[in-house]
Amino acid sequence: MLKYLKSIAPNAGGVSPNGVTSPKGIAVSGGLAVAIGLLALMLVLDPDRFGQTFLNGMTSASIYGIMAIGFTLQYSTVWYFDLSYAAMSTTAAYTVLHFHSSSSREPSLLFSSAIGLLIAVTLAWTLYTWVYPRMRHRLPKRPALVIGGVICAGLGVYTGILFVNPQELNVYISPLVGVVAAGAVIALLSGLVYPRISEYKSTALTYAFVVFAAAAAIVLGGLAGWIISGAPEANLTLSAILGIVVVGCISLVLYRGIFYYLRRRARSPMIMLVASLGVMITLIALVVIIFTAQAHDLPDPLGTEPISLLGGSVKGFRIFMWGAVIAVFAIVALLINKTKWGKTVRAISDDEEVAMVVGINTSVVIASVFFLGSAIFGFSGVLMGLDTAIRPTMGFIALLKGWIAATIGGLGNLRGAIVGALFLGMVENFGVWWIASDWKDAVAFIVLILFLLYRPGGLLQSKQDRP
Amino acid sequence: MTSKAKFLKDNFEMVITIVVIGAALIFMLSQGVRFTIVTGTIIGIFAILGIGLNLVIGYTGLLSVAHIGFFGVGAYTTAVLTTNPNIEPPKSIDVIPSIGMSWFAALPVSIILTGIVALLAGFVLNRFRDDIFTLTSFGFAVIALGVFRNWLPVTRGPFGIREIAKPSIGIWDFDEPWEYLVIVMFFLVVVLGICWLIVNSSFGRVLTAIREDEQAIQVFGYKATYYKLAVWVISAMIAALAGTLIAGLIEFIEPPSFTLLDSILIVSIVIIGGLASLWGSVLGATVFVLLEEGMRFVPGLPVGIEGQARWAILGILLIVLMLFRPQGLVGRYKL
Repeated sequence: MLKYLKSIAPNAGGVSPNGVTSPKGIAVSGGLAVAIGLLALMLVLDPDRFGQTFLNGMTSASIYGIMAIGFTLQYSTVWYFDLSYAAMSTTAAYTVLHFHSSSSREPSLLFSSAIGLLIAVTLAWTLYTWVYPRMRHRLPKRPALVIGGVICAGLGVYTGILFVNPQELNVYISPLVGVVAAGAVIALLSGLVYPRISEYKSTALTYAFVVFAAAAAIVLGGLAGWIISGAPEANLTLSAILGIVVVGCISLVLYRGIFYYLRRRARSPMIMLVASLGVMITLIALVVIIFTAQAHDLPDPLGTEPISLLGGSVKGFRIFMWGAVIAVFAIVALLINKTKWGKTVRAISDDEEVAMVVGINTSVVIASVFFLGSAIFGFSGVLMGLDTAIRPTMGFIALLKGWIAATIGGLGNLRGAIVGALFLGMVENFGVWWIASDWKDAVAFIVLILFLLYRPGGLLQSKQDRP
Repeated sequence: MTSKAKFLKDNFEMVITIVVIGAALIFMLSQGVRFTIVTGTIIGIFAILGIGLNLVIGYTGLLSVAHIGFFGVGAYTTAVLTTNPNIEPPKSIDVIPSIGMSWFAALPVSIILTGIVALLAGFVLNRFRDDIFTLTSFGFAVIALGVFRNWLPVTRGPFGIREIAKPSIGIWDFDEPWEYLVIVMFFLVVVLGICWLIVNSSFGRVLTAIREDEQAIQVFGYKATYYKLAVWVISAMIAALAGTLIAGLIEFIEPPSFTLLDSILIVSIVIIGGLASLWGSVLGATVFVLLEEGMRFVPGLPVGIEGQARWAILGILLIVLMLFRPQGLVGRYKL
C-alpha cells in the first residue's frame, strides 16, 4: 500500500528523492492529509450516510469506468475526441425503451426500415471487407456475392420485422437464437469430437457423427429458441443486446461514411471534434423527434428490493453494475493484450502509417474499434437507463465524465481508466457532502482542471503521448 | 481587373452576407412587419454573440464552448440588478436582492463583472490548447450553469428571474419592439466597429499569428499568453453585452437557457458563418435564427418538432461543412 502511494505521489512527505524538501511535495502530502481528515470527520459525524455515499460513489464509478474504457479504446487508437459516442449511449438506451414503452407509441414503419437498412448495410460491408477476401480463391465471385447479398437483405428485413413488433421481441428473435445455438453446437462438436473420430477412418462412424451432431444441433437449438420465446423476462436482455448491436452498426456506418474521409483529408483533431459534435446533435435530435424529450422509465431488471450494505442500502442491479465494469475491463484488456487483433490495434495506436506499411488493413481494424467502442458506450447507456430514468441528453454529460475519468487516470491506459473512474466517483459523491448535490458536475470539472494543471499524466502516469 | 470586379473579389464575404441578409429580409417581411422586427432583434443579439466568439475561435484559434457561461453571467447580472423591487417574490425563497437599477446603468456593471470572471477563468483555461482547451471550457460552462441553478439567494435557481427592466433613458422607455431593434442594431454596429478595429490592428495580427503558430510568435518576443488572455476577456465582455440585451428583450431568464447544448449552438453560429470573418458571424446568426423560424413553414412537418428539426439540420450542416468547407460559409481560416 505504501509502495503504491509512493508511486502515485512520489514526493509525498515533502522530501524528494534527493532529500531536498520540495514545495510541491508538501502541497501533495498536505492535500492528502486534509482529504483523509475530512473523510474521517464524515465517517465520525454520520457513519450511515458515509456508507451510503460510498455505495453511490461506487455506482457512479461503474458507469464512468465503462465510459472511460470505451473512450480510452477509441482515443488511443485514433487520437481524437469523439463526442458522437454520447449519442451512442443514448441511442442504445432508447432502443431498449422502444421494446418496452407501454404500447402508447405506434412503431413507425420508416424507423423500422431505417434500422433494417442499417443492419443490412453493416453486414454487407463486414462480409465484403472481412469475410470475402479470405474465401475469394475458393469461391466463384458471382455466386458468393449473390449469397452474401441475400443474407444481408434477409437479416435487414428480419431486423425490420423485429422493430415493427416491439412487444413480442422474444418470440420473433427466438428463431435467430435457435440458429445461433445450433451453429454453436455444431462448431463445438466438430472442433472437439470430430478430430478424435476421424482418427479411426471409419465411414460409418463419420455418418453416425454427422447424424448425431445434426440431431443434437436441431434439438438444442430448438430448445434454446423455445425457452427464449416462452420467457418474457428474456425481453430485457435481448433488447439490450439488440440496442448494443444497433449502436455498433450506427458507429460503423458513421465511420465509413464520415470519419474515414475526414481523417484522410484533415489530421486536425478540432475538425474531427466539430464533426462528431454535429453527429451527436443530429442523433440526439432524431431520438427526441422519435421518442419525445421527456424522461422515460425502464423496468427494473433485478427488482426494487434494496440490499443493506455498510449502513446504506443499494439496489441489486447496482451490484450487477459493479461487476459489469470489471467484466468489460477484463474483456477489453484480454482483447487488446492477448489477441492478434489487439496487436494490430496497438500497432495503429503507435503509428498508423507504419502499421499500414507492414500490411495491416487499418481501415478495417479502426472500424472494428469503432464498433467495439460504441458497443461499450451503448452498454453503459443501457445500464444507466435501467438504473435511473433515461433522457436524450444523458449521454453527453456522462461521456464528459468518462473523459475526465480517463484523463485523471492517465490517458491511453486501461487500468488508469478504472482507477480514474473510481477516484472521480468517490470525489464527486464525497465532495458534495456539505453542499447541494447539483454541484457534482462542477466538482468533477474542478478535479479535472486541478489534475490537468498539476499532474497532466494522471494518477497512473500514462506511458504513451499522443503523436 | 476592373475596379468593380476587384471590389467584388475583396469584399466577397460582405457581398454574400448582404445578399443572404437581403433574402432573409424579404422572407421575414413576407411574414409581416412585426415578425421582421422580433426576428431581426434576435438575429442582432446572436450576431453580437457570434462576432465576439469569432474573435476567440476564428482569429485566435481557440475553440471555446465557455461563452454560454459569459452570456449567462451577463444576463444574470443585468437581471439581478434591474429586477423590479415591487414584485412579490415566490414564497419558497425569502432572500431576493431587489436593487432596481436602470438597464443602461446595469449594462457597464454586467460587462465589467463578466470581464473579471473571464479573466479569472482565462488564467486557468489559457494553459491548455486544442481539444483539451475545448473540453476544459465545457468545464467553465458546467460550473456557470451550476451557479445559476444553485445560488438560490441571488439567481433564484430553477425559478428564474422575472420582471427584468426594459432599457429607458429619463422618461423615454424603449418598450416598443422597434425601439429595441434600434438599440440592438446600434450595439451591433458598435461591436462590429470595435472588432473590425481589433482584427485590423497589430494586436489582431498577433492573434492570427498565435493561431497559426504559437511558438513562432513567442520566438519573436510576443507574450502569447497575454494576448490570448486579452482577447478572451474582450470576447467575454461582448458575450455579456449580448446577454444583457437578451435579458432586456425577454424579461425572464432561467437556467435551461444556458445548458451545454446551447453552448454548442452558439459555437455552430461561428463555424457555420465562417471562421475569422466578422461578416460570417452575422451570416451565421441569420441562418441560425431563421432556421428555427423557417421550420414552422415547412409543409408536412409535424407540429412540435421544429426545434429538434433545427438541431438535426444544424448537425448535418456541421458535418457537411467539416467535410467540404472547414472554414465555414465565408470564412478564411480552416479549423
